[in-house]
Amino acid sequence: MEAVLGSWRIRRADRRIAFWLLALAFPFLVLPAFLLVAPFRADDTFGACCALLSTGRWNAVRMGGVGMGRLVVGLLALGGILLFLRDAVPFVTEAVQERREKAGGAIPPPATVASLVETLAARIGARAPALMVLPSDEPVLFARGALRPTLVFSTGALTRLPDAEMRAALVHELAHVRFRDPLAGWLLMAARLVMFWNPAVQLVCRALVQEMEQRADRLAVSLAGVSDFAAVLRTLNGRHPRQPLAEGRIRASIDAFRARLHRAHLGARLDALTVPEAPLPFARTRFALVALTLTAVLFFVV
Amino acid sequence: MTDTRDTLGIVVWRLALVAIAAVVVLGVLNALPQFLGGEPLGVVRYDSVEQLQNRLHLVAWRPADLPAPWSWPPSGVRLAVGRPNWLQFLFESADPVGDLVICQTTEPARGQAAALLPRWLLRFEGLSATDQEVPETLLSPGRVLLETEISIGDGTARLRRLLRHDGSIVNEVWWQQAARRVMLRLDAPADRLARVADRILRTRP
Repeated sequence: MEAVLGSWRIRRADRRIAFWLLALAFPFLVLPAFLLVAPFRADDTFGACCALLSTGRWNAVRMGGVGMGRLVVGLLALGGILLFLRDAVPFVTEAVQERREKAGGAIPPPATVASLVETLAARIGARAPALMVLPSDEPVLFARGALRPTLVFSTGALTRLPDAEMRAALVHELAHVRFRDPLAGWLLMAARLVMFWNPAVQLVCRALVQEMEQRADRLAVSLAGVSDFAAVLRTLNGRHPRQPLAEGRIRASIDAFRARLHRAHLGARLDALTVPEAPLPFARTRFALVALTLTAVLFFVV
Repeated sequence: MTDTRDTLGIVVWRLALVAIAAVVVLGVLNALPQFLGGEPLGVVRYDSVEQLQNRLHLVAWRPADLPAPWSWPPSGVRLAVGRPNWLQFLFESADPVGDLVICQTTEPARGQAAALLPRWLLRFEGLSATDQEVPETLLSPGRVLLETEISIGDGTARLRRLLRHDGSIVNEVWWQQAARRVMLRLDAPADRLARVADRILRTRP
């Protein structure tokens, strides 16, 4: 899918999301439909005479007494599980932590911020969300709540972000509210849980989350400008992620590597915003063509 | 109008390129096992006769008795897909007499891909088996030096002597077993092979 999107130079996040959702439909809908419509695909003779790729053929190649097909499928499943855990564990721990912090006592939001949120929400066509301020020096600002959207701020974010940057940050989060991204995030996590062993599902869901971020980034930039939004990203995401893993020189190397990765990720995210979004002619035709091509190719992979 | 057509052409062309690249990669991945000790295209290897029977929903003909030094179960079980399918059982022996190979035909069950595909497509894919020759993907072929009718069991069979590409000579015995064709191959003198076939056929399960 990435190759198709790249070859067509599709930059618009909403279009890309539609294509990624199409890709996600395959393991959940199309492949089970193949089982019903074409049960002969499960037959060994189909794999031997008709398939473009029969993974079972690799089982005849042995490595340490184990068929390579099973080995590779096992390794891919392990990769899928690790990808799932990598995102599911922080997702759950953050949800639990928020609940605790909320129970610990949220501070009422400043009236200026509340009114700014209402104004910006009306401007981008989002429903004004509930607001929650957490007593923390860490600069935190995000949208949560699958059914009842809430913007969560930390006191650190309120003090560190100047007005222009706060405005850019708020538009970004309100864009998530407008597009119901918190709900989509939960649904994607549910899909990942159902297919926790499937690395393709894990990667497609991750790609979808990135596209949703980019969609919100674009909206923020359109209202607040690139420089203010870039400053927000640096303030909110510029710190080193997570705790150190090890002590001494190893720790320093790991931290330096993480910081480099983090900077590269931020750079790529900002670079993507400078590429103009061109209109996409024949959007429906393209969508249908990709669906047909994927169906045709995947039919012959067993 | 021309612009629209050009744009659509580019869209289709780029998608076609990506699809062709994907098909090539998948095809290479599918073909690679045969160069790494796996099976050629169109051939499936099974761990046991039971596994083959369960997966293909068929009952393979099996010899009720095998003379020493060979014994049941076979050490190799393979299937060459086609119409008919060919099954191969390999009985290895440390004895100088060598390995015994039994091949037999089975018609693909209804609903199986090989039964659904038209014959011309099977021919196109190189899977157009006949019940007169074991596919080359299953057994190395040879030039027939001699073919004669012999009596084994309660009936007759055809004995063939073949010269293989490596210069060695092997003997085969072919006979009809109900609806299937059966073939025994042994790298041994014809009379030895005939005795083995006779023993297999005289002993009833």
